[in-house]
Amino acid sequence: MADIVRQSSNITLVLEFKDEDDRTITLDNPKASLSAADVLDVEDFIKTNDVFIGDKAGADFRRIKSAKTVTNVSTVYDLS
Amino acid sequence: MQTSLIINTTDSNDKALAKTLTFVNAACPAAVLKTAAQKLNALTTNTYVKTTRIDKTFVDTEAKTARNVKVSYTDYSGGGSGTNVTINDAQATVPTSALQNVSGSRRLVVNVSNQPALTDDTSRLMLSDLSTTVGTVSVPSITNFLAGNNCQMPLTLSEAVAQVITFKLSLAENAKYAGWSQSFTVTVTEGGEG
Repeated sequence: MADIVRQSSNITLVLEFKDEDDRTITLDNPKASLSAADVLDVEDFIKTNDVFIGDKAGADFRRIKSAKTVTNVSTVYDLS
Repeated sequence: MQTSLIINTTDSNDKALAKTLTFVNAACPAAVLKTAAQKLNALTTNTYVKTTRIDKTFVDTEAKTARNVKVSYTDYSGGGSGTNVTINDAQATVPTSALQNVSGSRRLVVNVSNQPALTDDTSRLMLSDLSTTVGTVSVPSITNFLAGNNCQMPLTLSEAVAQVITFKLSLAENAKYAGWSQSFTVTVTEGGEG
């Protein structure tokens, strides 16, 4: 049996609310061509339409504080 | 009320994925929530399947008149005057734990508020697929909600009191509504007339 290499990736969005609380959204399989503009487009839609809210009263969504993609590569070695 | 979204997608290997978001604005129109889910998914290579909205209502449990009610519905579409609207798999699970081990007939009222405005008399929001974990629920002969807000449907529990009641909400075939403005809410209370 040959070594097995697995690769996975995700994008993590950190959403900031007006009560200073943060919420995180992690999505698997981000596009390789993803750009900051794509994330800002989502931010604009969320903000314009008040899609998400924080725990406290008046804790509206403020912005996407950060966005990053992470790729993990794991190798299962054939020890036989 | 706490509102959540479940975004169902598939990856490039057709593996099903589900992402739950629990900090959703309950006042946000359904169409906007669906678009938001699609925009989030557009950041990925996954294929969008559907969005499920879950409204969880916590109500006062004092005086035996209220229960926690969880309502979910999946992938509805439509809007605009005279447009056909569909609701698939709209189900509600009603825990009635406070009624456990209580014998005798109990009368419950299912109340549906915030219904979309009906555009013709043939449109009905229907209650079906009633079941309980213990005992049975008798269904009145008329199983449709009439038009308007705060429609009520009385249900009578048999002697073996239910622990959980599940039921399905659906629309009459070819139902026409004036459009969705917000989600509907289902509450169940003990009591009612008749």
